[in-house]
Formats: sequence, structure tokens, C-alpha cells
Amino acid sequence: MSLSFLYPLAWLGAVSIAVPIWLHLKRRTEDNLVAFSAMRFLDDEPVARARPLWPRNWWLLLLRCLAVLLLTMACAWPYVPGVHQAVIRESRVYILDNTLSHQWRQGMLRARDEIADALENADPGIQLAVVELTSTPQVIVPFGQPLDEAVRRVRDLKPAAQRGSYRAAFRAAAGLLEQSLGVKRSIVFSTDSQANQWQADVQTIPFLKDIDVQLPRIEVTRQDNISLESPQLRRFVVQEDMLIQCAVTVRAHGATPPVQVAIEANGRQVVAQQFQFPPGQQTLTVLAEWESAANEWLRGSVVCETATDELPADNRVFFSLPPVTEGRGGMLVDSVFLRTALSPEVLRGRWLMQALHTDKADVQIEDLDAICLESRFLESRAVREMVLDSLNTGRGVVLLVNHMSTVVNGFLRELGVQMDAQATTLEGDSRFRFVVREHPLFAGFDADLLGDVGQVSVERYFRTLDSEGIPLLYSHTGDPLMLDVPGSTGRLLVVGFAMQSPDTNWPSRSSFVPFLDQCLHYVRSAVEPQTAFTPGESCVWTLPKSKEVRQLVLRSTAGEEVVRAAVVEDLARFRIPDDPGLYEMSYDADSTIQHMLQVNPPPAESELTYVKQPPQLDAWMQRGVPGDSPADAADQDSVLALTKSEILEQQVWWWFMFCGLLALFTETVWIALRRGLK
Amino acid sequence: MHSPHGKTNLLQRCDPKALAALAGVGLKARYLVEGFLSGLHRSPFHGVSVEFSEYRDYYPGDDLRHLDWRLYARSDRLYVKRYTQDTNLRTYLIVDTSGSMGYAGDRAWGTKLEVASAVAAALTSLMLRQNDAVGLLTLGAGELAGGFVPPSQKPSQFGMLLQQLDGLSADGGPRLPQLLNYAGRVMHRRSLVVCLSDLLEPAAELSTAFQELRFLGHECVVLQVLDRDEIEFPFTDAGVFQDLEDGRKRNVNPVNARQKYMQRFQEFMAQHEELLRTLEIPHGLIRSDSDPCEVLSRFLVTRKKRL
Repeated sequence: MSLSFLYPLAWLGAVSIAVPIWLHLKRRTEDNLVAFSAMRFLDDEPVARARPLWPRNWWLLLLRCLAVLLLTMACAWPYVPGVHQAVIRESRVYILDNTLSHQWRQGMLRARDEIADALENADPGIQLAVVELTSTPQVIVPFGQPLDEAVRRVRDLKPAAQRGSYRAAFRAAAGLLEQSLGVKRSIVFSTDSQANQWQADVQTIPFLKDIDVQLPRIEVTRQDNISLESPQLRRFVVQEDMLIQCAVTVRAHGATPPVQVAIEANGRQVVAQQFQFPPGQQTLTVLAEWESAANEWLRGSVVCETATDELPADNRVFFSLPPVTEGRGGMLVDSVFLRTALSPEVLRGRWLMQALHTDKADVQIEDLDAICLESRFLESRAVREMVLDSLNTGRGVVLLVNHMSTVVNGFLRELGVQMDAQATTLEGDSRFRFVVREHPLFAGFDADLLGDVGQVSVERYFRTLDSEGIPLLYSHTGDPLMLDVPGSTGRLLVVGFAMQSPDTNWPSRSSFVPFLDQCLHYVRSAVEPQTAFTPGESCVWTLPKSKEVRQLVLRSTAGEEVVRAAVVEDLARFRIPDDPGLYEMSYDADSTIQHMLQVNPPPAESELTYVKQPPQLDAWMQRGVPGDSPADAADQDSVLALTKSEILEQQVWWWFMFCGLLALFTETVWIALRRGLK
Repeated sequence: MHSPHGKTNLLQRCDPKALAALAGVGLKARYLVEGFLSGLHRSPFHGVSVEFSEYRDYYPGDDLRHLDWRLYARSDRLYVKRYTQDTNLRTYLIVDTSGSMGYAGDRAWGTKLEVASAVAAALTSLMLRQNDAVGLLTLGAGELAGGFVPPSQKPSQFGMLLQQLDGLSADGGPRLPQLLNYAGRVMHRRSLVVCLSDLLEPAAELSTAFQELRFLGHECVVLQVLDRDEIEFPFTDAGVFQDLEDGRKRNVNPVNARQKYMQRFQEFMAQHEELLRTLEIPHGLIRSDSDPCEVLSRFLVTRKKRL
């Protein structure tokens, strides 16, 4: 039986043996020494020899050194290999893949039952633990769990629609094995071995040291599947109607059979139609439009069905849109076209615009969401201050440059836009050369729902010389005509031309009013929070500072409360529910819906491509030094796998501590007796 | 009254009652010393003072202000008036700080240096009460002039001397002869020199040093501070004895060595008493296991009777 140590470096503490030796020699020199003053009368006495520093009380010194050595050995955590080897032959961790893709042909349920059976029939010489692979790997059964409880926990697991990290699950399993007692350590991975999962975790340092990994036998490497991606929805006002435009992408992995798509919104089925994939393409975009009330939440789902779909769990996605609230705006414009387009009659239900007056000392903007003005009014100092105040307080500004002067130019520079003092006039073709259609402002014009901006021409404009803003419109000669200027709390749009004839023909086009509506809507809205999530995702929700909220509550559409998170410093941290669906967010006891979260299946889980022997696993394996004998490796594994608590279960450690303390006690008593006798 | 070995503040160690007793005794020097202020001590010099002493013949160079013009008018001879002036005493306390002064026996209330410091403080208080000027001379460990406080009769002098005495430490080899020589160079007027030491020095060197002081006209008093262990040598256990001054060690069996030690010690004491008697230097012995103030009072009473 050999003795090993968990922390051999603690043997450096044996250097402290010098302390009792030094104390011993030091005390020795102090014994029987009398410092005397009248030595002149004793100068005929023999001179004391300077003896070498040689200890006199050998037993006392040995006792002290022994105490130090024993305590040092105890600190090095002694361990006798072999004590546990006879009991625990193997430590094994099962990783149960409970991601969405593993639901293919009940794969997760079959793996779950196999693991439960293995637990029930476990060999006493094998330690077993179970890790569930979800968005965050969880240890379902730790080592040492009673079998009945372990089996019950495993059988209680339900298929989930999450996506998790293979590497994170292996790390959790490796962490368990580090605390295990078995000579052999292994991981059994019950998974579908999805290819994109392995590929997601390429870059990492090896962390599986001398652990056997058992992968499932993969018979097929690819399965056909049809899935849906999160739909994109917008509200548009066309004439008097409020329209919803929905675009949803159907993706085929493998075969492209005809697909039946059904869209349901607010309990009404708006689309139910079969679609064919375009030849040679794996994606199909379904566009749908329907009318919807502006003042209510829009909630619905898209479902696709095919005759041969291997993974039904990813065939349904959810969507929602908040109700439209009428915005309040102010305008300082001379253009008759603008006055007409921004009048309450035209923008009814969307905007309530009021004319502002520059002759008032302070313009009331507290109730306004956005301001639309022409640059001529910037000659007034009160207006300039109002614009700055609006931008600093988060209100949007749409500035149309129809006039340029030294004051206006200087103010534009202050806003981050440098413009030419003289207007530029174009002759010939003066239509837009380029429109940034990816910008949210022009998203509705993409399908000409709101009119064709390509037919708009601008013949006279003020050229932008320099700006930090993002150009959205370009003139025929390539000059930026419209800028989205960042740098302030509120959004600022600067249009470099006047909305009047003959500068532009836009007021006579059908896209004019929608453009103004979109501009006001864009500058009005703050950054919309992300409301689309995947199941089990971690979420940090930022609440507006103006609201004093203590708790954030998530409820399912059935009214069941699923999440209640505390708000700390305007932040709420919570985990997105595991099931796909719509979840209503409210604050504290108020049941008013503040936001609607759409939890949809992770798209990557729909790609049913598998790997038999993933090379990533080899990269994770940390191999031992070549030449090590298996027996020695087993011994070292056994020792390294121990924890302090397991070492404390041995008598060796306690004997070392006891003997060390006994030696110290004896030394103390010995010294006390000697002093007492003196 | 005192903590046996603990180092306490000298102000606390000097019992005010003992100091009051000393003040009632008073101290007068046997010889007249030079001073500035009127006091209780008679000056050996004639000068401009209140009390007329005698006439002497005028010699060229004498101060004309001292000529008695009336006598000249009557007798047509030049005489110079001489006066006798009472003046205050200028006292120098010399405290030995050699290593042997750091010894404290089991029954001593402090080291010999602490005892000497307490006695010096008591004398300082006494002198200042009768408007005498008091100064202090000590030697540091490695310096020739470790501490020199010029004499002064100001009340604040007491605190200054106490501060100086508190900072003393016994260290190094024998240095009393050097200290006495240094005192002879520092003192320019006839003064009273009170030497506090264990006198564990070679008698020949001490003799030379004291002779020089006496030759310069200074009055000397020696208060010898010894420990009971040095006087009685009560040790019983054999061991290594180490010299406090030079660190040398000797194996000593006290039972065997005691008789010889006592013989040599008594010879040493007799030798020093003879030396001091020859030089007319009063000598007192203070034991570190007894109250130094009481010993000092007895010594001063004895001295007063001799005046």
C-alpha cells in the first residue's frame, strides 16, 4: 500500500521544520546565562567556551520536528490509492440531448428511457450521473443520488424545443467526473449528433482528460425537413385602411415537397394555401396582407404542413404586433403641400399634428412625440432651442432644408451636418439615383405598397458637404438628399430639399403622405426592444428609466404566469420559457400588456444533418503523456479524482492530524512541566 | 513605590514626598563658588557687591571704580575696596552610562542607571528650589559628548533634565574617566560636581580624573550606585556569566567563587574610599534595592553637619 498526496506542493511546508530547530537552539543559548556587571571580580574564572550550536534536548527537538512534519503531511492531503478502487470501478456520466432536433422520431424519449433503464440496472461498482443538454446544461442526477430518485428524475424529463451547446454539456460532465471516485471515467452521449452543433464549438482548448466518450451509432447522416423562420410583420396605412403585411420564410432541408401554409391572426385564419418551392431553391417566402384593427394587439401563428415532415416541432412560429397609438406632433412649415399632408384629416388615427408658433417665448413641446419643420424657421432662436431641446429629450425631428443662411448653416453644423450655402439645380433626369430600401423608413416602399419612390424627382436641393449621418436618398448626381443623423437622444432626419414645386414633384405622388407618415413614425419611436427569442434563452430586459417597476411578469396567452423576475437598476434577468409561443409581458400587479414576446423554435435545430465521428471531439480530448503505464495512470486518476471530502473519509488523514496535534500537546506539557520544576 | 524592573517615567518615579523631605534639609557647598545671583552660598571671589570685605593697595591696572576716593583724600594713599558676595551654586550632575549601569538584580527596583537617574532628578529639584543652577553631563554609547545640558536655575530646567535622564541607556564599556575629563573641559567656573556611578572602573584612571577636577577648584561629590548582587554575590546556580560591558563570558560556580569575589570586592571598595578620602571627595553608597531618596537624605544630613 503506497501513500499518495493530493497536493504534493504542500510538502514545501516542511521547510518550516527549521522554525522549531531555530527556536530550540536559540532557547538553548539563553539557558543559565547571567548578564552581570561586576565581572571584574570574576576575571580569574575559566572563560566559557564558545560551543557549537548543538541541541541538548534531543527528544524535545524531535517531538517538535515530528509535529511539524505530521501537520505538513496532513496539509498535503495524504491518500492511500486502492481504498476506493475496489469499490468504484467506473464513473460514468450520461448526457441526454434534449434539444429540438433530437425529437426526430422520438429520439429524446427513447434515449431517456434507455438512461433510466441503465440507472435501474446499475452495477454497484459504477457511479452514474446524468446531464441534460438544454440551452443551459443541467445536472439532473449527480453522483451518489439514490437510484429511485434518479430514475424518477430522468423519467420526468419532457422533450424540449431548445438549442444547447454540446461543449457546455461535455464541460458539465467533465466537471462531474473530476469529483468522481472511479478508476475509469466515461461519458455516454445520447444524442442525434447534429452536425451544426458540433461545428458551433470548434475553438476550445482540450478539457476531456483521459475520459472515454461513447457516441451513439449514427445510421443516416441526413434527414429531410421543412421548417419555418420567424415571420416579419409591418403595419401600413393605405388610404383609410390599416394593413398588415406579413412575410414568412419556409425553408426546406433536403426535398422540397409542396407545403401547406396557414396563417392565423387574432383567431382568424387569413391564409390557408398550398405553395410550391421555386425550382432549385430551398426557401419559399410567403407574403400575406390583411386588414387589422389599429388599436388592438395583433397575435397569431404560421403553420406549415407537408406530407413527409420528419420534425413537426419546428412547423409552427408565432408573431405579434403592438397596437397603434395616435402620435402627437408639431409642425413649423410654410409649404402648402406639407400643411395639407400633415393635417389631421389626412393622418387621422395615426398622427395629430398641430401648428407651432414662433412668436411665443417658449414653445410647448412636452406633449409632442415628433416635430416637422422647415429650415426657414431656424432663423428664430426660440425654434433652434426648441429643436435642441426636442433632440435632447428623446423627441424626433424631421428637418426639411428649404432655406439656407449663415444662422441656419451654423445650426446645421451644430447638429452634425455641413451643407452648401447655395442650392444646386439639376437639369434633365432628376430622379433618385439610389434609395436605401433596407432602411426601415423605406421598407414599405419596397413592394410599392406605399407608392413608388423611384418616380420622384428632385431638381433643386442643398448639397451635403460633410456629415456623420447615414444617407438614405441620393440625387441623380449622387449627392445625399436625406440623412439619418445620429448623436442625439432623439432621432433626426434631415431632408436636403423643400417639399414644394418646382423643387420636387414628390407632393404630387402617392408616396408623399406615406413617406411623411413613415418619417414621423421613424423619428418618434425609440429603439424597439428585441421581442423574438428562442426557448430557454437567457434574457436581460432593459426597462425604461421613467417607470418605477419592481417586478416583470411573463404570462402565456392562456393567462398562466410563467416568469416573475425582479427588476434591479432597470434591468430584469430571466430565462425565456421552454415552450414556443406568445408571452405577454406586464409590470408588477398591472396586467396591462407592455410587450409581447415571440418564442419560436431555433432555426438551426431544423437542419437534420448528422456526424458519425465528429473531429471536434478529438480536439476536446486531452491525451496523457505517451509511455505512461495504464496501471500508474489508473492510480493517478484515482487520486486526482478525489475530493477533500473523500480524503477526509479515510482514516489516514485523521491519523496524521491526530498524531501531529498530539505531538504539539506533548511538547507543550513537557515545557510547562520543566518550567514548573524550575 | 516603584516598579522593580519596569521602565517608568522618571517624573512618576520621583516620589514628591521624598523630594519634599530633601528640600527641608538644604544643601550648602563647603567652598565658595562663583555665581551671578544672590543666594545662600558664599563666594570665594571679591567683586562689586553689597558687603565690604577689606582694603588692599592699588596696583596699576585695577579698576578705578573700586578706588576709595574718600580714604585717598584723608590719607593721600590709593586703596582699592574689596567685597564679599553671596552667590548661587553651579552644580553639574554627571551620570555614568556604561554598560554595567544597566544591571538590575532580583530585588532591585530598577537598573543602576535608573536609580542614578532618580537620584539626579531629586538633586535637581532640590537645587532649583534654592535658586541654584543645575546642569547635566552624560556620555552616549559611541559619542564623546552624548548629552550636555548647561546649568540653569530656571524652573523649566527640571523638565529638561528629566527628559534627558529619561533618554539615557546603559551601553558600552567603562567611560567614567572620559566623562570626568570632558567635564573638566566644559566647566569654566568653579562648580559642584555630583558624580553618580558604580565606579566599576580602574582606580588609577579614576584617580587621575578626579585629581584634575580638584585641581581646577571644583567641589566633587561621588554617589556610588551598586546592586545587592554586586555587594553580596548571592548566586547559587552554576552557569555562564556574561559581562554587560564587553560581552565576555566565564563559567562561574558561585558557591566556589563567592569567597574570592567578596574579598576582591571589599578590596575594591576600600581602594576607592581611600582614593576619595585622599582627594577630600565625599562618598556615598546607594543600593538599588533601597529607596534612593532616603539614602540621599541621610547623606545630605551628614554632609550638612560637616559644613
